[in-house]
Amino acid sequence: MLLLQDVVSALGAGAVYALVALALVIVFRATGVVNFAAGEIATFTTFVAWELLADVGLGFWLTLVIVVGFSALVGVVIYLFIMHPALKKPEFVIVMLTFGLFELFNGLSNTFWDPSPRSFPAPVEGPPIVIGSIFITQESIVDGAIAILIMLLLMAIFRYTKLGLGFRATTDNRFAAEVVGIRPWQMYAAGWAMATAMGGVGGMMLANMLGLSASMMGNVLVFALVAVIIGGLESPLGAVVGGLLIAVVAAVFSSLSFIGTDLATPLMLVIVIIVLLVRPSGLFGQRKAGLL
Amino acid sequence: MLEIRDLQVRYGAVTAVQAVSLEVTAEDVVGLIGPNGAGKSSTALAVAGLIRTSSGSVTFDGRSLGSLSAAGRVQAGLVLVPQGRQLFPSLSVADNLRAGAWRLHQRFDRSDVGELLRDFPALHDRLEQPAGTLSGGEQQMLALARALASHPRFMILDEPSMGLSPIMVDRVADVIGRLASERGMTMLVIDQGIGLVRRVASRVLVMAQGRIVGEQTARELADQSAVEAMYFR
Repeated sequence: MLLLQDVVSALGAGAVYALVALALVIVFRATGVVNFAAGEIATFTTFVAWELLADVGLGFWLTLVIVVGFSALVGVVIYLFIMHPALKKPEFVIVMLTFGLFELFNGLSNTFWDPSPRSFPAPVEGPPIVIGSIFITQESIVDGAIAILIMLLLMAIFRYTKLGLGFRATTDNRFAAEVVGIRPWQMYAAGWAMATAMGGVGGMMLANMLGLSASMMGNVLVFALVAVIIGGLESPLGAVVGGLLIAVVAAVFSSLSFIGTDLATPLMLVIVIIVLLVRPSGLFGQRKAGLL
Repeated sequence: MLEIRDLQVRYGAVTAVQAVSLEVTAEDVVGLIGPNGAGKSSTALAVAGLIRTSSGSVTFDGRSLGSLSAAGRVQAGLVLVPQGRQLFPSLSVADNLRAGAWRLHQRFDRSDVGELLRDFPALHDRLEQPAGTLSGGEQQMLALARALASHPRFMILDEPSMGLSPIMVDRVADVIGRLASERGMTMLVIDQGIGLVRRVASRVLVMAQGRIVGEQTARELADQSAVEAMYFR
């Protein structure tokens, strides 16, 4: 029963991992590299959210909407002024740029705010819901619902909108996209906007769970990377499944007395190695992955 | 409708297209043939705005295309069916067609697909199939249909027979012929050999080493040896 409680509790974290993993997949499809700055950008925008909540006094939901827009704008600016000019450079350069962004946003968070942990306002307040002997906090239900809504919205965008079609087409064959009149830079900028917006939402959810600090996304990025490797670097569905799976596996490992919390992370990395050896494209990856 | 004057395309120190000039009038089909490396595809890519020109001009419907982007040229009604088809392999046939209609401002729905595939019955039952799983001939048909989705007024077909069996080349030639005769489509058809071009074009330009080296009418095209002589001029 304790194990079941741990698994249920872990699903909230899994939703955050899934959101960040999804953001990594979208940026990977747009630029061909992993965005190592995803966590720090999300931390920065979450500090902005905290300012709006704590200092300006805005409500949670309005702040969420503003942060989504602000995060998207940050993503577009990053793409247009940093990533787009570097696209023709060697892959190593683009990877190093994401590390540079990591340092930039980490520095901004530490400069403008006290990096030490602080509480973050919850979207709802109230006693936990009890089902049998399982306790589920209302915050985690709301966080989970937000994450699911975001993912469904993203699926709908990719499947049913012109923007989604353009993004799928451009990431499938960039030259063909230009042939039919799509401007690839617009699709990539939109991808970055969506990715950073999702990271912003994930950051707020995580701050709600763990408290806001400059280092809060450290482990999350590792878990999100594990999730995309297991799910498939180009598969959004794989990212979501991988994120949830990682959270559950980590909870199970941590609850087993002969493994515990200390060994849970290294064991997950062993799983990553096994997946890479057996199925390098990931559980849902394929050579040319269709989106959703 | 299309006028190219002294077009030059360079890749670094290599001049792929040297002072190429040609005209295609409305509702005409002109062929452009030549051996590998003659500069045919470079000409096509330059006219479509997908690569930069070093000098020369391209005028479409009396309007200089200048630095107009590839997207702008599609919007203006000039579309390329590129060499090697260049489909979106993971996307379905239907999504490939929708992508072809990207620059249209109106919605592109199932009824539009039906109208579009009037000349491509083989694709009717494959709308949800990933384009990368189609046969070579079906992919060529899809590439043509995708180009038509944007309601172009001028199509450049770059090596539509490449990699196809003789039977499929016949089918592609039939489709191109119907596009010209029934839809009045103006086209520049580029190919290495004369087989397909002879069937659809009213006249054929021969290109070699980056230059236009000869021109023949449809009647004159019957003389294969004369055409081949131009290749090696």
